[in-house]
Order: sequence, then structure tokens, then C-alpha cells
Amino acid sequence: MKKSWKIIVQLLLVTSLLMASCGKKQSTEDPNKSKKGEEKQKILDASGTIELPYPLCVKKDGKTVGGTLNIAEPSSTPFEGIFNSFLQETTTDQDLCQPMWGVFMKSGPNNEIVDGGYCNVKFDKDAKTATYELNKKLTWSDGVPVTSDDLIFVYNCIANKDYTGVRYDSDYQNVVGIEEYHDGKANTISGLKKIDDKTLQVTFKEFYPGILWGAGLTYNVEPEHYLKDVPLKDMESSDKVRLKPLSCGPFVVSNIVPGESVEYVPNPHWFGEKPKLDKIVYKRANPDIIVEALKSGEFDVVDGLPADHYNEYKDLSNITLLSNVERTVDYIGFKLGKWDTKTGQVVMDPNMKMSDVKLREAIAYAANTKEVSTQFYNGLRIPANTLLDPGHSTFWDAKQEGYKYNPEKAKKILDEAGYVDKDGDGMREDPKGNKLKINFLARTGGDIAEPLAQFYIQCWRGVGLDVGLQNGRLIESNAFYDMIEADDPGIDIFMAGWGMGSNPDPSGLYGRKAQFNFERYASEANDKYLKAIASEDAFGKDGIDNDYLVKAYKDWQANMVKDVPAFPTDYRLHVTGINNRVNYWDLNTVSDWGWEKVGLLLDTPEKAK
Amino acid sequence: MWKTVLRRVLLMIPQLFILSIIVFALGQAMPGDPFTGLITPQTKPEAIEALREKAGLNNPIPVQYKDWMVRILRDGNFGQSYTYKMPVSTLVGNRVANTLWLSLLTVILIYLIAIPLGINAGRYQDSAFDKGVVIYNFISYAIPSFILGLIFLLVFGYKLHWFPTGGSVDLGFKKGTFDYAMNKLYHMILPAITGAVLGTTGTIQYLRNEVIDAKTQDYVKTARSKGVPTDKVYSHHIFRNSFLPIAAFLGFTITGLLSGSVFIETIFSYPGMGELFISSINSRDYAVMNTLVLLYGFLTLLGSLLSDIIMTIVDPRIRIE
Repeated sequence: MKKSWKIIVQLLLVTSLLMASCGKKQSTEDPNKSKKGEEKQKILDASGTIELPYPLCVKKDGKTVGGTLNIAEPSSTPFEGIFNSFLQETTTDQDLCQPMWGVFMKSGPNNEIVDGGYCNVKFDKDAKTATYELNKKLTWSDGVPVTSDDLIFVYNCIANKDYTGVRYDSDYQNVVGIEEYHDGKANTISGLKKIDDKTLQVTFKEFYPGILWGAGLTYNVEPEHYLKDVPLKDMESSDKVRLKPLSCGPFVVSNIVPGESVEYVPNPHWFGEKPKLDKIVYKRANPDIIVEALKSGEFDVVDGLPADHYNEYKDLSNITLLSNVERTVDYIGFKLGKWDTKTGQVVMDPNMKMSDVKLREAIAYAANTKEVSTQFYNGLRIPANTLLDPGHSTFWDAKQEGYKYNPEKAKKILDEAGYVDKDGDGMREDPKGNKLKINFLARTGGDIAEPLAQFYIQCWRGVGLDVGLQNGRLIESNAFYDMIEADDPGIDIFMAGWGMGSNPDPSGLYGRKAQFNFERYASEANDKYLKAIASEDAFGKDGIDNDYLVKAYKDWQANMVKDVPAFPTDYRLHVTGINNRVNYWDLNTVSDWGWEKVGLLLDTPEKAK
Repeated sequence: MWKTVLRRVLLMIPQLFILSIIVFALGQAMPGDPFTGLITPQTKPEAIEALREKAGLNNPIPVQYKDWMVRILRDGNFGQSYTYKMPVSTLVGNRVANTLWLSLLTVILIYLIAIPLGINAGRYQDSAFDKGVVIYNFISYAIPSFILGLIFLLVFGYKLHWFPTGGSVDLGFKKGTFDYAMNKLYHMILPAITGAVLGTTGTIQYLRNEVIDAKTQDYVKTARSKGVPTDKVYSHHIFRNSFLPIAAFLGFTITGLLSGSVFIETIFSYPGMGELFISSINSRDYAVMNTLVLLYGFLTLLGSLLSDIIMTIVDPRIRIE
């Protein structure tokens, strides 16, 4: 008797362990209830101004002590470490180069190039030129002055047939004489004219607004005297680019452990104000342990704290949190046609499942994007209203209504358009009476991906639309893009996102001839509005006619809301954690912040209590 | 015996050849390619197409395979890594050094911990010590490596500040100096301890079982009756016989030194081979991926050969014809 009891108890224990592991995960905390009452996440409708949860800038007075600033570079893999502006390809490498690039060209409120950096640019629309004006005192870290030859060097490398990077695009091809140089028919680029050692004039074939954002211009300069003897195809693996790059900014690289860490010291030939720091050290850190490192004071700056660990770092006592809107738009798109490789443009198909604009409107109204931002991302996302990101603050139309969550309106639209449930199964049929089954394509990625996709599906099923995941599951990222680009016939709706560059011109994503126009949407109205954005009328007497462009972007955004080939779901918030001993950090696009102005108020970083 | 060894070595060549075809075909079958990840709204599709063309990705698959094989056999050139923009041999070379040292330290620690524990657990069977060892064994087997790694990192790295929390070496040390080696060792200790605590399971288990079996054997009775001290019976006679199953795996252990553990390397931000392998698959870095699979295939075959050779050395009863 005793023996069999023992076995039964052991079996019970084992099976209860199994059952526990099979159960659905419960959410442990309601993200809206936080311990500090005033710190509650404010999710405002994006059709007002966006109220950021944390300030954009921290500036403290006090005597600085020199010392080393420790910055975390969140990355789960070792970084590539290419310290060259035209050869590097990852955002990590871009981050790592910031102390040595400084503010080579200054940005305006919409990320256009303005005066005030180490290099000014003068634009002349009628002559179709842009003229670089380098600061007279700008010098490389080995003492050699920065000259126009260094700028010409960048163009020569990008246009060289041995160039291994991705930057030689139609914007660069717009420079007069560059294609001849690329094809080997000329020894120099005829459109580049050296006026003097500090001035370079570039002539373009056509002058369009994108040029004021840097299309066809170099964002940075590279040392010609240092790199000219390195063959271009070997340059990216050369020590001069990987281990000992030169710098004309406030700091210069002093030490690198490849893939792991980078050390900067003040540039002895820097022309500006003397940096307040003795050293800057970037160290790569696994995103999962970054919060712990921040607590222990191992890092002074973490630029880009992960949203899913928000509850762990939002109450830390030793850091200040800063936030800003990112230049990203997450969206849900509809497949409306195909890409014609022969003619190089999209071809719409009026017979596709999603071709009815009323159906698309209903789907947009039924998506509860507000709850997604609050529940899934701890409030670090903002429900979006247009397909332009708020990072381009003047052009983004804050007052556009967009598709605010309204399931009753969605149902009404569907009823009026003829999508009613005829066979009583709870799901609507299409106006012709055929069963309507809608495929939703979504990517894997992190814990949130599956619940998020299911949430949207629930929203749509809630208004009577039979939506399901295509192939019954999430798709891996690479496979996802393969399917989208190939216009897989099963796709009806898909969920994706774009990170915008500095140039907000949307024709690369939504134009008739854009290969990245994944919705395959085109219309005459859209053509008209995109043309207006890129037209010469965007230029006023000196520089950009802001009023014209604001209206042009507003019209385009409104048309996209009307035709709804895609609707935006949310904008992302960028959160940075700064240790209390750092005296100055600024996330504004337009600011006077510079690496030389950052200082430390204490010898050792503050630790969390 | 050497005839057999030579035959095995020669057999490796067709085996590796078939492996190369399989891995190449599987790599091509995966969706995406090295350039899929480079797309931004500003990228012009023609630029990506040009890069694809230059990398030879538009050639028919047999042609790509032939080019790849010819380059390896003729030039010893394993290609260029698309993600890291450097020759694969340099990249793998750097990582192999890191992983080799870490694995070596881990294996040394494993044997240091497991051998005394296993033998004494078997010797003092059913004592409190033995029960403790068995429980430790089961727990260390059950704990996932990333959990233990995170716990160690939190306690010894962040809370106690006894060990560095990431990387393989600090800035400012010159390669080749004693200080550099010491600093590297310092960074390796925590990941090695994590790996060692988790890796002792098999060794302890086998040793303990073998010792328990050996205790009843005739030769032990003979040794005792001859008057050999108990300690010497264990450390000399029983140990040698119990070590057989471990020796069987020794070949694989040696070649396994180069494979590395993805979890441990990721948690401790330690740049090693395991991490390289996984990230090359994720980023479709074909050159690195294919080279690594070939390398591991070769190491596995070599490992089994080494195991067989070691067995003949350790156990005179086993002979290869």
C-alpha cells in the first residue's frame, strides 16, 4: 500500500509540473498602473501634438571633472567597426563614429542641411549647384588641414567601379560627369569644381528639393592624403579604416578592440572649444543586460533603451530618462496590384480582394492602435495618424484625423458597402455574396509578435471580417520580404514598418516607379502630389519655401488617408538613459549640443539605490 | 592500425564533399540573401542589384558552387564575409582563438570538478556526499545555460564586481604581453565557470557508475588482498578503468573545443565561434556559414577518428586492424 502511494504522489508532482509549463502566460502587471502616480504614460492621440513622456534635453550647471564617459552600444553581435562614412553599412558603426564626426553638417527642423556645422553648403537653384564651404580651421587629427580634395576623394571613391558599398545611387548619378568617371571615360568628375582649398562647387544635371537634404552630397569627409594609397577594394579591411581612422571632429580614436569596444581621446588639432571629457569609451552590450549595467553605473549613457524592459528602468534613481520621437512609421498595408519588372512600375489590379476602398477604410477604423501602444509597448509607442513620421516635425500633419479607432463606424461602412453576413456564420460575405477570407501576413520577432498579430485579427473579427494569419503562422523576416517583393498571390494585408532617412520625400516608398512600393498602389492624384513635393516650386528666393512644402506634404498625407493603400499603426519613441553625473545631453534635431560640451560632474557614476 | 587510420582519413574527403553540396544547397534554399538586410527607403534597388551581380548571386547555382569550390581548393580562399567585410579566414581565425581558450579553460575546469566528485561519489556510495553529488548533477543538467549565465553575471559581475561583465579583453592592452594574457584570462573566468558547472553532468555520471561497477570486480579484490592501500586502489586501478567512457568522448571533446556555446557567448558578450555561426545564418552570410559548416563537419569526423585512436591507447584490449 505504502509503495503505491509513493508512486502516485511522484506521478502527480511530475504531471503538475508539465501542466504548469503548458499553461498560457498571464500578464503579471497592468502597465497602466505604475508605482509613481505622476509618471503614468500619457498616450495622446497623434492628431494633437505629441506629448513626450520624458524631456528632450538635460542640462546641468556645475564644475566638470574630466574623466571617462562610458557609452553602451546595444548590440547582440560584435560590431563590424568600419570607421568610414562611405563604406560602413550598419547603424551601430554609425553610432560609434559620432564623436569623431561631430556636427559636420547641421540639421534644420526637418533634417534639411543648414549652416552652422563644420561645413556650410550654399545652394543655387538656377545655376543647379551646391557649394561646400569648409571651416577655415578644420584640421585632421594628424595636423593636415581638411581641404576640398578630401571632399572630391569621397566622390571619386563612391563613383569608382571598384566601390563595394551601396551609396552610388541615382542621387549621385545626378552629378554632372560622374557617370563618365564611373565608366572609365574620364579621369575626374567634371561637375566638381575646386574653387579653393576650402571651397568645392558641385553641379547637378537637375536640381530637385532632395538636394537640400543632401541628395548627391557627402555627409562627411574622409582624409585623402591618408587613404589615397589604399586600393579601394581593400579599403574596408584596411587598418587605416578599422583600427586607426583619422578624425576632424572633437575626438579621435585612440584604441579599438575589434567588435567589442572603442576608445576616444580629444583631437589635439580640433579647432573648436576644448572638450570637457578626458575619454569616451563605447562598449558593446547585450540588450538583455543593459538595464542591470545602467543600475550599477557601468554605463553613463545608453542611447536606445529597449521598450520591453521599460518597467525595469523607469524608476531607477541614478539616471535621467530622455525621449524623442523616432523617424519610423509602423503600418499595415494592403496588396493592390503587382510590380511590372519590364516597365519598372506598379500595376494596380481593380479585382483584388482589397481593391474596394470601403473595405480598407473599415479595416483601418477597426484596428485599435491606441490599445496596442498602451498594452503592448508599455506606452512607448504613439498611435499614428499619417504615413509621415513626426520626426519631420514641420511637414508631419499633426492635425490630420487619420483613422482613429471606431469599430461602430467600421461596421456601418461595411454594412453600407454591401458586406453583410448572409449565411449566418457571424462573418461577412463580400457584396457579391461570396465567402470573404482575408489573409494577414505578419513577421516573427520577439515575444510581442504573435500576441500583436492575434490582437489585430481579433479587432477585425470583432467587426465581422474573417481574417486569419496567412499559412496559419507568422513568417520569418527574410521570407516575409521575399513574399512581399514577389507579390505572393495569397497576401491581402501585411504588417511592416519603415525607418525614414533624413529626406522625407515619400516617392521612394509610395511612388509609381518605386520598387519599395509594396502596396503596389498608384493613382493620378498621388502622382500629382508626389510631383509637387519634388518639384522646383519647392524653392523660394533663398532656399526652401517652407510654406509651399508644408502644404505639399499636407496634401499628400491627406490623399493617402483618403485612398488608404496603407494606414499607419504607431510611431516609436526613443528613450535614452543618462547617468546623473552627465551634465549635458540633447535629443533635439536642432540644437547646439556637441560632444565637446559634454562633461561629468562626479568622478564616479551614480549607482542606483 | 595506421592503415585503418589512413583509410579513415581518405574516406573523409568524399564525406566532406557531400557535406559541402548539402550545406550549399540548403543555404540557397533559405529565403533572403546577404543584401536583404541592407535595404532602407533611401536605397536604390539598382545598387543592391549591382552588388548581387558582383557577388555572383545571380549565376546559376551549380556555377556558384563550382566557383566557390575552385576558390577554396586552388587558392585556399574561403571568400569574403558580407557582414563583416573581411576575409572569412581572418574573421574565423580571430574568433577561433577566443573560443579555443575559453573552451580549454572550461574543459579543464570540468575535469577538475567532475573527476574528484565522480570518483568519490562512487567510492562513498549512498553517503551524504554521494547523494549531494547526484542532486547537484541533476540540477546542473536541468538548469538552462542562459539562466545560470545570467545569474552568475548578475551576482559576480554586477553586484559583487568580482569579474568583468562582457567582452574578451579590455582596451589598452597590447597583444602578446603578459598583461594582455592575464586580462584575457580574467574575462574568461566567469563564462568558463558557467560552462563548467553545466558541463560536468556526463562525466560525473559515467565516472560514478563505472566506479560503482568496478568496486565489485575481481581485480579490485586481488589488489586489496595484495595489500594495496585503498586510496591507491582507487587512484591507480579503478580510475584507469573507469576513465574508458570518458576517453571515448575525448576525441569529440578536443574537436568540440572549437564549437563554442551560443548562449554563453551571447550573455557574456564574448565574441566566439558559436555566436559567429548563429549570426552568419541569420544574416545569410553564405561565405562564413558554409565555411563554418565544413569546418564543423571536418572536426566531427576528426573527432571520431581521434576517439578511436585514444581508445586503443588507453585500453590495450581494443585494437584496430
